[in-house]
Amino acid sequence: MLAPPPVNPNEEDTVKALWKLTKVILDTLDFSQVVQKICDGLLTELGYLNLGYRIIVLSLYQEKLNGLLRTSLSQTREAHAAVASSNVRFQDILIPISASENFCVKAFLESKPYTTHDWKDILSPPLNPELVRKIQSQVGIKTSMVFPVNLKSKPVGVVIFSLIKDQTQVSPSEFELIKGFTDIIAVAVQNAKLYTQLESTTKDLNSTNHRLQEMGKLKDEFVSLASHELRTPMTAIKGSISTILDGYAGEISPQAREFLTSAYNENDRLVRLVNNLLNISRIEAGKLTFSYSQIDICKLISDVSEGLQMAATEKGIYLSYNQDCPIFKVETDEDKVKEVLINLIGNAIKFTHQGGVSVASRIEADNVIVSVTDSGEGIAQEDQDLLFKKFSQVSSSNYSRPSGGTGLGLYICKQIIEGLNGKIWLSSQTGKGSTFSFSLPARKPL
Amino acid sequence: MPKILIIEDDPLIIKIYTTRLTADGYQVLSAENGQDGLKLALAEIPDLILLDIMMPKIDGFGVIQKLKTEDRLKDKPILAYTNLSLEDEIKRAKDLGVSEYIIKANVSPTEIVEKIKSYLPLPPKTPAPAPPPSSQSG
Repeated sequence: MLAPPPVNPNEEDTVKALWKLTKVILDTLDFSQVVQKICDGLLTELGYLNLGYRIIVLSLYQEKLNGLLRTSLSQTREAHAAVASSNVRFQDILIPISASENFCVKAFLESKPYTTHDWKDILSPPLNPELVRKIQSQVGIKTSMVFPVNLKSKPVGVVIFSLIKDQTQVSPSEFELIKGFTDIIAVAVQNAKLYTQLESTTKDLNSTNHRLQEMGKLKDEFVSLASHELRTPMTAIKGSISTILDGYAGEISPQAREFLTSAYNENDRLVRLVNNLLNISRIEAGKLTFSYSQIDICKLISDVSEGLQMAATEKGIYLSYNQDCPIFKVETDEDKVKEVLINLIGNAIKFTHQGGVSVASRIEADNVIVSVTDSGEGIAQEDQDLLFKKFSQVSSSNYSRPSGGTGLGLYICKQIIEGLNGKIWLSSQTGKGSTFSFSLPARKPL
Repeated sequence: MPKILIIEDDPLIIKIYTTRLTADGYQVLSAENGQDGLKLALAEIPDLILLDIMMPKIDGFGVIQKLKTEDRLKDKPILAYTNLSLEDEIKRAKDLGVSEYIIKANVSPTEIVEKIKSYLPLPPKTPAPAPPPSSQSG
């Protein structure tokens, strides 16, 4: 599609022509397409073919090679003929910056246009001067103009216009338009480069994201499977020991009962550890979800207390819960609240060496409040805030590492209770024991 | 005598519950995989099923699905009894219609037996049946 040649182009026409060219070039963002349009646009869209322009070559500076490398070439008969006669492939033609006499290097380094009638000036080195002159005369090029391509006054390459007319026949307006065109080239090249980078970065990010998702899924599956495999033998141990302790395997001596009780409690400790690790993994994955049902909070308290009775007995302390528990249905997640109770009562037993632990519940407005009170040594004010954080065990005498545990329990309790729209808090004084309380709304929030 | 079917691939767990439940007065049947469990359920029509989930041949989910399509079994309580505890596993079992989802390691056999009793109460204990009149007279 050939547009008519510009006749006596004035400044306004030049601007219009450049605008048209810009639109054609910026219409695409793919790098190889952009550089191709740069070489063809002027010839076909603006009809410069009719003005004697035949070959347009874009060469961009390559830092690694320290030279100007051919990037694109106009799709004209003369261009194809020239490439066919050369002994070096077009895309391999590299003009080293060290070739200081080459007009391309001069235009690039000095940021000003150069014109020549001899292709030796623009192609040799690297090519043999005799060969390039022969090719030039074959394709009938009389003039080549080299323009620098600058991006924010930093040279990025050159563009070479080869004409079948003499330099004197290049009108000032033609020359102006070409100069303006080289500025557009720089922006278009930069845009295309950025876009290509962005595309490849996006692709990398997508694939990384996909890999992370896969890994997350694998981790979930692993944690689920590993906890299942850990719990299976613990279940068998728990079941076997309790069956003996409950008298289904005949009479046992008091000493055997004592040892079996310890074994039972230690096994339960392992169960709680696995549960907490599983909980942490769900919390960290943002997958702590709740399944609501109407629960009997009194029954839950008595079940958990009965389950931990043996652990208290073994330590010689009491574990009691209020028998006058108010009948109150709570719409909440039974399994999760059970985990909280096990953690709180289990902790209280662990840190109490005299006296005991009592669990109480009461109703306040539309909330149920459960508290676990121990006669342990209490927790100093400055340690209380740390308590609900991950991996924290306060360092004061009674709560130091020898007490064992991961320091995850209270963090998990807080995540669960807050996830159920409740609150959890502590009141304690050194030497006067501790009370951990939580409140839960009676109904699932809308 | 109320009849309980245990479908569970760990023979030790079967033994524990058979011992306890038999002593309490239940009739206990058991199978070590889902396929055998389903066959036994169809042949014996138990009153309650204690069901493991992770099992060879047909897993617990498959067993529940099949049980719920059988007219004579679909209303019998199923207690899922497993160590799988991911939310979606629990939800899947509940959606399929289990009465309870129990995480094995977290509950003692006493609690399980209590739960079973709440779904399937034992008939009040009667004194040993009086011997037939004929032997009494003899």
